[in-house]
Amino acid sequence: MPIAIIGSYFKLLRDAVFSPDSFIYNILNFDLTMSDKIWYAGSFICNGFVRVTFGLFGLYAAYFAARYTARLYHKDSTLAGMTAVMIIMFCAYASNVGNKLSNKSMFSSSVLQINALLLALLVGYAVGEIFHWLGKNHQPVEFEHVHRVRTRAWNALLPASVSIIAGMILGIIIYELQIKILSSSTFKELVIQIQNSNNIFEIIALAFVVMLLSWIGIGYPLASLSTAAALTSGAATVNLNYALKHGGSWNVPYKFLGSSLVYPYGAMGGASVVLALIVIILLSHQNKETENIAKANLLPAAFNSTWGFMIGLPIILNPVLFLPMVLIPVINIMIASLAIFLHIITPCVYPVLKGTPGILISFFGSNGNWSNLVFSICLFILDILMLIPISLLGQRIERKLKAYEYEKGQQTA
Amino acid sequence: MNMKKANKLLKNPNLKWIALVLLVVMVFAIPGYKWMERDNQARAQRMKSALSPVIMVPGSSASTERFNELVKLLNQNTPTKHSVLKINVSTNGNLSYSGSINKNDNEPFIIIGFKNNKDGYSNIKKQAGWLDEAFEAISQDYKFNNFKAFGHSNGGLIWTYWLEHYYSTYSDEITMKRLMTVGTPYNFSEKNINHKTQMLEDFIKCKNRLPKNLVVYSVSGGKNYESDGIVPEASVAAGKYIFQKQVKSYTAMTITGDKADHSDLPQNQQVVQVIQQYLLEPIKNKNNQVISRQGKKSDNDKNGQNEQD
Repeated sequence: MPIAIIGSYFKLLRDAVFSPDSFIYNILNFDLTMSDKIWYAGSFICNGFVRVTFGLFGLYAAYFAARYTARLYHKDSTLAGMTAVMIIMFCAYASNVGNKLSNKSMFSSSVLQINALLLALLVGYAVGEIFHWLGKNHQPVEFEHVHRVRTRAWNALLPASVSIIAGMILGIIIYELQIKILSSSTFKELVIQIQNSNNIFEIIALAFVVMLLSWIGIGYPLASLSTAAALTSGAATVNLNYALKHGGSWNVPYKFLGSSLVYPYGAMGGASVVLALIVIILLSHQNKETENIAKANLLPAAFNSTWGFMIGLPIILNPVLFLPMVLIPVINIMIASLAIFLHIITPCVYPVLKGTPGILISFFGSNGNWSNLVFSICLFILDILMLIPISLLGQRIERKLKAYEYEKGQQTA
Repeated sequence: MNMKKANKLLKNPNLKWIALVLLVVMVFAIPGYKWMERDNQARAQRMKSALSPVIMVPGSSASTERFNELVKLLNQNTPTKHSVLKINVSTNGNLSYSGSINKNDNEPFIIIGFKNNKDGYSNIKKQAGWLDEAFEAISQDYKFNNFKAFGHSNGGLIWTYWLEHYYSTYSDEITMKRLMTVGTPYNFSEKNINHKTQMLEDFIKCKNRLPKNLVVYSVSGGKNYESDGIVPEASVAAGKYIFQKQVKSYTAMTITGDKADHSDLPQNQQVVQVIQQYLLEPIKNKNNQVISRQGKKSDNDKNGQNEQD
């Protein structure tokens, strides 16, 4: 969806240029060289657009999920979409109305964030299904006069009411139980567990869970894993202090710390699989449509802004990509910890700026250890190689699917 | 066949896009590498630094010369003399320096004064901003990882405002170990604690931003039973509503006797003693260095618990 790509670019700008702890901001010393006016304007625009794209993505996702589900069954798709928007907004309201501290506005609710995409998709799909079972068939026509619109509204009343009652119940559950469903704090424990763990097996198991969640469209754990907060944990501070004292990170006390394994190697800043997939699609040069999506997302993905491609291709809930999405980061972590064990690379203990390209994270995180850079590049190439059979499989399935659809089209015609 | 494939791959129009993005990444990698080296070096310097300055802020209507007498008294009986750096901040944030920090002095005094040193809450907010300008400059020049703060009168208010609004930018690299305020009117000239000024209300509202491991001493003067002549004791005591149960320990002390006037406090012999005992690092002595430190530490904790009201 183009909304996600637009969001990706603005997020790239915000995270890499217009925030004080970001990569490009710091290396070009914008602190001194950029005038305050430009900075404020830039961060105003970027924050605003990230907010209306990613911050409200649930609205769009619920609308389109309901719309296409209803259309599939020849029901009134527009009204299904609007009903889904109403319900997701009500959920957002329900989850935020009890919010004492910060913003009570439902537009700032975590339910609507792109990181909670799964909920929006489910709501949209459920509404679409309700329209499927209860709605009357609907044929879109070129020109609708008042009378037709009226019957159309009347026809949609039953499924819309049923959906809204169901949505009401969902909202009440959210409000009563005060479940902060799908917000970064829900997964805080999980993320902290990963960052503070020095046990490879535990890290691998948890990284598996994080990637699984991000595959089904819950991006919060991966997102908070990528933030600089990783450095505030006690063990990471001990590591950093050790490295600063001894001028290197070879023998830090916690070599296999989750925060220095998952982000730099496992997820490569969140971009490893996504970027590898983009490169494969571009190199294989097969399908014009996916190629364009890949091309548009190449730059943001190189700077770890991956949502555009996650949704554009899509990767989310795509059964073909389930295994690589979940397994490749785990394999990366295993190889990286082996390499640390064999003293080929050093652990990443130094702080890394926000928006640093994924491939460079381990290089910068080890205070410029060249073998880390070479290792990262090799790891990335390996990721690409691992993805090739999957992408071939994907292409074959796509062709079969097309043939099937064509056949079906022939039959109905 | 292989050649053909390779050829096909080379002719792929997408290759130039990949190359372009790779180039972009590389172009940023070079200055990024430089930045990283510099940043980590500075970090290491700060980490290894043994420097722990005492940063002093005078009260309203006072300049950086305000503590001359105090510094003289503090330097009287010490084997290592504390060097003094004075920084004047103009109203547009320009810094002018006088004095200097000796290379082997690990506990220099840095005195920060303001061109506009007027009283009033709005001025204190501004002064905290100027204090931050100066603090940022010295934190970059001298690369210390911890410091002690001292504020006389409104100087204590400026420190408190700075702690609540500016300190968080530094807190992961620089620690304020101890804060001592002398005759600081946390509730301005208000004698009745039930009448909280706007400033005190704001301080209390933001008190959760105060560092949890900070040790705070608040010294008040007792010229008579109610005040030090200018600041009511109740106003100094109002500090407990800000610091108590927020920082590691909050100790309130009252100095009486000769020279317990508000403006005499910085050169009061008891205040000097209190500063030496609580604010400064214990004097290092090769033989009993560890013992004196431990003794000092437990002393601190005991005081913190006993005198906290």
